Amino acid sequence: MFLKVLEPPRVVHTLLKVVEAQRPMSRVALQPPSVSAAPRAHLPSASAITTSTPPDMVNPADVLIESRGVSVFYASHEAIKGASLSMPRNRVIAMIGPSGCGKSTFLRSINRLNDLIPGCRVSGQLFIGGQNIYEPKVDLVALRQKVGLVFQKPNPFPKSIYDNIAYGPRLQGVNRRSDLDGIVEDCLRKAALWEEVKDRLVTSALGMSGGQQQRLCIARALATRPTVLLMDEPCSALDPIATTKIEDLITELRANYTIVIVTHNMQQAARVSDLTAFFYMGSLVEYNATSAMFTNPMQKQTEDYITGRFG
Amino acid sequence: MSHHLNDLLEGLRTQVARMTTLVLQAVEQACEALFTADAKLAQETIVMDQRIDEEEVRVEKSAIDVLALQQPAAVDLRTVATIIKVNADFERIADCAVNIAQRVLPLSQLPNYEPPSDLKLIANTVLLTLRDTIKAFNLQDEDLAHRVLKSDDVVDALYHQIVQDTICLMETGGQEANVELGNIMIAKNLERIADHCTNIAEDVIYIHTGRIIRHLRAV
Repeated sequence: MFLKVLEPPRVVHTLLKVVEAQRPMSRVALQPPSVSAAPRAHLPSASAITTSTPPDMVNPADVLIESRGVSVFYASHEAIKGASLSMPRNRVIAMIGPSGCGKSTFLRSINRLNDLIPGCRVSGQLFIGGQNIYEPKVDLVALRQKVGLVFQKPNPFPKSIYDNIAYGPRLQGVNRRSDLDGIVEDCLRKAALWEEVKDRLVTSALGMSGGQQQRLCIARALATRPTVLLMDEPCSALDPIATTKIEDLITELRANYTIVIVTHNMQQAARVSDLTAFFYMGSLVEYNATSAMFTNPMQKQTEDYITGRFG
Repeated sequence: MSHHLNDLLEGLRTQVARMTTLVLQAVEQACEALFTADAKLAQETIVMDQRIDEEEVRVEKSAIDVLALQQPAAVDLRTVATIIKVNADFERIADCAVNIAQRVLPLSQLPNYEPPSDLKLIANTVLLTLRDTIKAFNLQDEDLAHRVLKSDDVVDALYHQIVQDTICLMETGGQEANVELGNIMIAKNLERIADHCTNIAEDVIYIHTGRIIRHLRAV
């Protein structure tokens, strides 16, 4: 209504040209800023993707775990298709993706647990601290002491709380009671469990709550002095309070360990991890800083997955 | 995306669209009141602001609910975060309309008050910019958002011209000081509206690209 009583709009467009013509020095500033949209190519198939390690997130000097073209086969089925990514030390790396995408398979390949599955074959190279763990001479027991694994369901041994923690160190030859006492207390403190169980160390671990049992499993994994902790959906069997405790624990443990966590809970991945890898149909689709993944993912498939549009 | 989240985001966009209709109406009324010396219309614009304030609070509450209850990610997160920001910008645009209307009230009582032609031009430009901004946001039109950014330069140029002309008039003792001050304050508020439009256009681009282009133009 108002425009009718004023000059016609064309005056404005004419004026725009006049202003630009009269201000040649500001021409550049008048141009809309070049906004190069992030690549959002819709991927024709998951197998087309090989790797996408974020260049500015992983300093080569900080890399602890490096996977180069790792493929995992179950008989003829290729469960992981040439995944390459670098994981820096003292960081939490989350692996997300729909069921069957290969994230747990990749996790288990980091401590060669897949070796136990008949018909499973791994190709490519996977380095931890510069050593290819798939070389024939690698001592698997020593590897799994260095790379601890916490499973989805708490699985304490049917022994006392104390003996659960002391089990690994005893296998490593630590037998002096005072040494074991120190290790047990240290690990239980690191797992934020000491205050809750210090007065009942000799009671059965099976009498603990689910959340306590899972923290005991983490403490047990810490007892062999690992550098890497692998966690395969560690909170999926726990209630929200126990979940929060485990997540707090992960955040604290990051100072001394490199943690790789598989989770179906994307909010959990967003809360606890520094880097996130998205797998789909055996391929690593995107690997980036968690904040970037959850605010502005590079790949449309990642965006579709984390916004719940598929998967 | 879950259907529920989709519905909630659609509802949020509808709420913002409803608010933008009121905001555009307020700015149009304020300008028309200025150029037709209509004190009644200016008063209506001032009264109308309460409705816009209520809409703003409603949109903000809904957006915070979506954040708290749905934990959106990626483009959905950018959409909700942006809605919270543009909601505030639209409300401030309505405040500018109120400021203009308040200036119009005394000016409209002057028997010989005639707004300067540049004031008509800047008002016209700002109205076009505001319409483009609302359209760019509601239709998520990135190209139109870029055009909004460009038109802000025109508004700035016009504003500075008005200030210069008014200073000249004051120095030569042309009109009464309160009229000159009124004209400058109205031009300032129109220029502020264009600034808010720029913010909103930048947010439209952010939703699309994930890139924050704010401040880049200055560099």
